[in-house]
Amino acid sequence: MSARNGKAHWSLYLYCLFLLVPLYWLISMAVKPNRDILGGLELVPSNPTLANFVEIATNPAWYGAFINSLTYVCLNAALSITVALPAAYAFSRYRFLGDKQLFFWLLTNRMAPPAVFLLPFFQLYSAVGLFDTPLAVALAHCLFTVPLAVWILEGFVSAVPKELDEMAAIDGHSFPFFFFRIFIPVIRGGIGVTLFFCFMFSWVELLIARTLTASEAKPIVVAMTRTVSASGLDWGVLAAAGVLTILPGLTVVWFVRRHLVKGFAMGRV
Amino acid sequence: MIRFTPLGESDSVNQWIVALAAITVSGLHHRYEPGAAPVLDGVDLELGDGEAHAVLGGSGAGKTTLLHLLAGLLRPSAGTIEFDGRAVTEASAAERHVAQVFQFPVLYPALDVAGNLGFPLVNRGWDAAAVRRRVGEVAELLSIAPLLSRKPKTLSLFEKQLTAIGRALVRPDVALVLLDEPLTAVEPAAKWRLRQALKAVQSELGLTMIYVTHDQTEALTFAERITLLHQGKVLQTGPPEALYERPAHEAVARFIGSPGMNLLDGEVAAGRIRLNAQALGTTSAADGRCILGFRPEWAAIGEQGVPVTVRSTRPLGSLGGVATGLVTAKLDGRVIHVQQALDGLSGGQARLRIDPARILLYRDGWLVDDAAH
Repeated sequence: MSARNGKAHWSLYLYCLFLLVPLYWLISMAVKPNRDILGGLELVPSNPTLANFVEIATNPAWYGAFINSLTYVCLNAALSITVALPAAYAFSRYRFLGDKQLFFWLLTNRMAPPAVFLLPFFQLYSAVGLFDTPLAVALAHCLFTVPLAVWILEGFVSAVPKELDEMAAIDGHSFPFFFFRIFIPVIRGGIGVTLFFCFMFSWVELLIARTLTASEAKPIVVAMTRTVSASGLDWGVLAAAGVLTILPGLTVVWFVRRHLVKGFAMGRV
Repeated sequence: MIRFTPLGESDSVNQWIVALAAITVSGLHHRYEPGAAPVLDGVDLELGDGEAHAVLGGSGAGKTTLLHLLAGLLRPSAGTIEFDGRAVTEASAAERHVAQVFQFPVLYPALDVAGNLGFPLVNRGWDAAAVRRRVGEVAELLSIAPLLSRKPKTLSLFEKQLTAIGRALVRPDVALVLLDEPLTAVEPAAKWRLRQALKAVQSELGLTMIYVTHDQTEALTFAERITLLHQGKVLQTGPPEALYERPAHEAVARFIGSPGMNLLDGEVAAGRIRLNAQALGTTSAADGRCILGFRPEWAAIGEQGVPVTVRSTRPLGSLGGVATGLVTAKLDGRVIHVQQALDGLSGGQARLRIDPARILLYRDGWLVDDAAH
């Protein structure tokens, strides 16, 4: 048994190594000057420097893009949870005409490629003056994250026994008190997992974010595709931006890692 | 859809009244959707203050619906509920001062046992010292004081259910405690202890308790009076002995007792009860076909009476040095059970004698009242 475990461990280590190689390459590029990056193969940076990161921290075009991205990602996550939580509760607890069909219809939204919605979004947002604002991107992303959030949250809500609601009602609590003070704390793990998935979708989504922004609200993923200058590509800064892009996701995963497993086990994630 | 208390109505009830709860339920009907079959169909119940009452019934009998109606989670389609002569049919759960213990213990996972017990009090604006005192009292009562600082996930099911019971008792204004099959989730060895704890608390605090269960042993040992609910109707209400000795309906006769009452097709002719053309006893009931009912211990298999075929015997132990057991026999293709001494009994043909004074007659399901025999 232990021999088999040992073997399984080794294959895991190898797999891990395989996954980490590109990541290592990105990080090592981020701390090299452009000359070394283009110079030749070196496994350990010979002239480590933080100049690339300093460039991002001081250039408004770079850090502005980060702020734009974070703004619409947070907006999107907040909007999605606000809408999806009551919806998930309703789908889980109430029976109404067409509830199952409606629930499935939510998922079908995810079946259309985002590109389909580009033109209508562009036209609509230009018309109402939302074009090139973080809110535009956040709202557009909601079309995809809200169904996802409802789907995930419904699983978590259904895992809470109905008796919790009944007990609160018998104890003489009002519905808002129950929902905010009792129910939300009980499913906070599920909310964390949902936030994570909304965040992940919105943070890495490129197509909609690029189409709905021009200059004012340019997000980081777009900024990274537009780094060609007169002197060619600025490889080091691009790599540094890449490293910084990974960080928020990593932080969120750290907070929800335990609940994430539960979500997977539930089959909803 | 359950009914919550309207916003701002009484989240801050803070009264030390120990309300009396004599409960009168009359003509209670409930259907979940208009046009659907009624779940409760004209239920009448009368409970004295401080009574331990059990509602017994199979699944789908309407037990849980009855509890929801009493707690105020649902509004009945028709009928009235009175607590101490005060109509509460329309009152919210908060105004009724009711607590409930569920089949599976419901606790807030984030709070420890003390936090769970004190939650209803904290939300009623009690100060910390008073909450601690009251939680201490309740924990003492149920002997769960050592668990107070533990989180629910570290407790056994038995301890969780004790905590849930404590949570129901913690509000001093609670006069009626509803128990919805509270022992189902608990392992058999702990069931007895939990039932004792419940019974002790009930008599000590003088609380009115309604205990819903499908397990007749639980009902018979816990309650002073039992209501048997069947398909949304009350078939009989009375002390355990009455339900055992004189079941008012065939369904009660079958449900109570293990095995249930023997029910055989018979008839009454000229004031005599007849089974397979043999006269068994006299009765004042009118002539005609009827069902004869008798408990396994009201009959004996021997050399006289109606012919039967003995199929098997199961020893139950010995009583006064005589080995007794349960005999399974067949009479005209119908299985009957008889509890008696096993000495000298062998398989095959034998004869069944039923104590003529104890035979019960049923017509259209209901007991025929014949004081004569």
